[in-house]
Amino acid sequence: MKKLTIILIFLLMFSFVISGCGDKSSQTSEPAPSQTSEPAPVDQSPKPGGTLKLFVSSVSNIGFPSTMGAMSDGWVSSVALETLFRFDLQGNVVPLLAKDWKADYEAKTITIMLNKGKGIKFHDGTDFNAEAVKWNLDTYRSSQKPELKKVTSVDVVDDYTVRLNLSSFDNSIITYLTGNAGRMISPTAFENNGQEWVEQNPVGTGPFQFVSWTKDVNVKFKRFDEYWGGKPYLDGVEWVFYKDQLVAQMDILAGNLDAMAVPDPENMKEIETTGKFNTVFTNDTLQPVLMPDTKNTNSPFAKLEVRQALSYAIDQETLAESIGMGYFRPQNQLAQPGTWGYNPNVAGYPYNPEKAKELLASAGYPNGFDTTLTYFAYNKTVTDSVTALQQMLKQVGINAVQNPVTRANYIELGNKGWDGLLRVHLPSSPDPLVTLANFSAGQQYVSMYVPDEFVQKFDKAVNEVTFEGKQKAVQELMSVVDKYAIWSFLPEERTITAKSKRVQDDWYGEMPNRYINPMVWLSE
Amino acid sequence: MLNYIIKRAVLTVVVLFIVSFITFSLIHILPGDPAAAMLGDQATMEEIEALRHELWLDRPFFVQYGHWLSNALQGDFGKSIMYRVPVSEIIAERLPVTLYLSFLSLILSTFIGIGAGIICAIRRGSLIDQIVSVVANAGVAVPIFWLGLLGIYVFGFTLEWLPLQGWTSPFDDFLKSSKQALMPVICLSVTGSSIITRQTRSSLLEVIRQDYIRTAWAKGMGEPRVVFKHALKNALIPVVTLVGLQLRVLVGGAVLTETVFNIPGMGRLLVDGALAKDFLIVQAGVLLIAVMVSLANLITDISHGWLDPRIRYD
Repeated sequence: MKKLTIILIFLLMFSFVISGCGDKSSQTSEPAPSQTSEPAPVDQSPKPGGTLKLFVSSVSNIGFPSTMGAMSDGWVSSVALETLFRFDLQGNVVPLLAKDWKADYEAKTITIMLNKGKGIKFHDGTDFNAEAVKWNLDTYRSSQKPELKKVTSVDVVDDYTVRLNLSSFDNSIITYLTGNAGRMISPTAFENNGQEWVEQNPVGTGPFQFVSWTKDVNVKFKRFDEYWGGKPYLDGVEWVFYKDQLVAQMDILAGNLDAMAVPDPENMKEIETTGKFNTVFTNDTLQPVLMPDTKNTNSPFAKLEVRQALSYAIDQETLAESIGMGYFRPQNQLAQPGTWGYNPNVAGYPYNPEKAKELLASAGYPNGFDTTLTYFAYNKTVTDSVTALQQMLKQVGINAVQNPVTRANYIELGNKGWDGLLRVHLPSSPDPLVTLANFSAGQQYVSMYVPDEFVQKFDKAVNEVTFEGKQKAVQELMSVVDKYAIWSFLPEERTITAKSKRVQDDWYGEMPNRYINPMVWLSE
Repeated sequence: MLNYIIKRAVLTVVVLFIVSFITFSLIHILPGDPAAAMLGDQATMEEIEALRHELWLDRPFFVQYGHWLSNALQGDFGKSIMYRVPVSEIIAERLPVTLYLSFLSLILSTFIGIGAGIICAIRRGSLIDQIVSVVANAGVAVPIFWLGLLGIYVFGFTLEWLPLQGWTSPFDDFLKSSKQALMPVICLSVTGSSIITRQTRSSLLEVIRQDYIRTAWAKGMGEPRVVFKHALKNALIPVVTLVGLQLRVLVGGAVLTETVFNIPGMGRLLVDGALAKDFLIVQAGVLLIAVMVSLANLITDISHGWLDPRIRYD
């Protein structure tokens, strides 16, 4: 018995020792985790605190949507100024400050119901309601901005319902309300302080409240505790200005910055090799195209065969691989694969220099011709891409002289006209009708000929009431662009965002308009 | 002396007028529409035309210049196209930053330059003279932006001794501000200290060959007394001119340094203004720099008289 007691005590002590030395997993029936060099898995429960630091190059107005110019104005302000609608990760329009919407094609109205049960308030304590929405939409309409031109008036139906009366039906209006046209600011803040003040001090309903804007240094926002969507986890969001991309890159590698868009794929490769960052893409990327001066009857590009030859001469695969280092994608239409507007039947113009030469010969240019290739040289990737493109065009006989211009000059050429080819970066939206609207109206890129069929199909698409009808019409529109070779596609320059692995549930860099999830949190 | 100062003040006004006209002309010659640049890629022609009218860009060139000049004379430099706030407000924010960095680097480059120049001159041909001369020649040649990026990489990124970039006012956090300012100030000082070193060395070498210096040696004076009391004062006249001219170099340097180190100063403001065709910013900024350079030249001229009483301006 004594011997048995000693053995039992020994076994008991041994089991204690074993259990004390073991980790938690060994105390359960689950297998012990294997030893790898991977970092320990992040605790997935959200943690409060911390400031999210994001890169931005410049802004000029972060508080008054009617006069916002650069896209970055909207991105920076978005944490404070929410929109009526937003896109989801698939590019569908979903409500944000709105609850729902209803279109009436016959009556030419769109009725928007607001989130009334949430008690939404602006950061200055005033109520967000139908009157505030009407004031915002009327203010935007009174500016020169084109998005709400078809809205003739806005009626307040009740405290939480507004009705948009239209001159002609346009289903893109809801899409426009995901952007600056639908960005809501406090009317009281405007009336008390004036436009100049509001441009510098955003007062909205967003999860973060404006703190300060030190020009060319940073814009700081702090948590808005009364946020209608729940108390945000972060203490704040800070946008940090950088003039030099290289310095910003060193700062993110040093851990001083949480996320930045990296325009140079070569730099992105370097960042990726550290293994400390996630690489994400958004589906509202820049879509570069070569826009010919087709309206000029003396231009070789006025002939369809020449435009087709131009497209056949471009080796998109090589450009995407060499200049885009695999981050860029060849494209043959504005809608991207996987989105609702994408037409799988569009064949495009796969690289075929021999065919390009044949087409040029049949158009009366057997020896090719000289032209100008004008582009806004905003980064190294663009200049490298244009140089490669120049060589490709030369191979089929199109001798393009490079003409790099400044941003101001590029915009002016788009509005007033150009000779030869203009490299245009189309600010693509998940809804292609938004991108195409200005072409249809002939407001921008005035040297480009817009076929009647394009205008008819566009009008049909914006008039569709059902989603299915709109989808079909947009896909037909993609075919029309292809049929007339209205422009030549270059590889899609996807916005690559490098993001620290500590940033959780943020959607930044994945969601269109750089929308940030209010419930973003930092794991450390 | 008073007459001289009045004459110079009148001339400065003429110079400023010419500078403002040339700047206005140059910025208008540049291709691109400032209104279009301000409104972005998606702006309509109506929007652009409305803004052009608001900014007086749809008027003839001389009407625009006259409008700008009459407002400027009343202290109104207009509202920035880029920032949508009065230009004077932005300059009031930016100028102290550039002046602070320029002042520190001017002091640093003067002390290092004169000190190193004296050592090289009195130890002519020695190893230290050769080393300093090589470093000074390299310092004149090295591009500031490259030096800045190298500094950020070595001292900020690799060694983590200093912040990579940024700006904090010394009144808000002196320690942080000093750490952030160290690399930019050194970068700004490199060219200036190198030029001053070379000038001090050659100037002092010329002076110490003079008879009165030989006499001082013959009288049995010590080296410090001969160099600092008798030789240096005369040798410094061209050096003072050079220090005065450094202001222009510092402004040029500020453009690069502030861009690389992400500092919101006048240099970066001018670069951004020129790129965005914010002619109101560029116009006011250039005019201000012209005033500063004119003042620096005046002070330099006056200090010549103090250093060498034989110099008279009347």
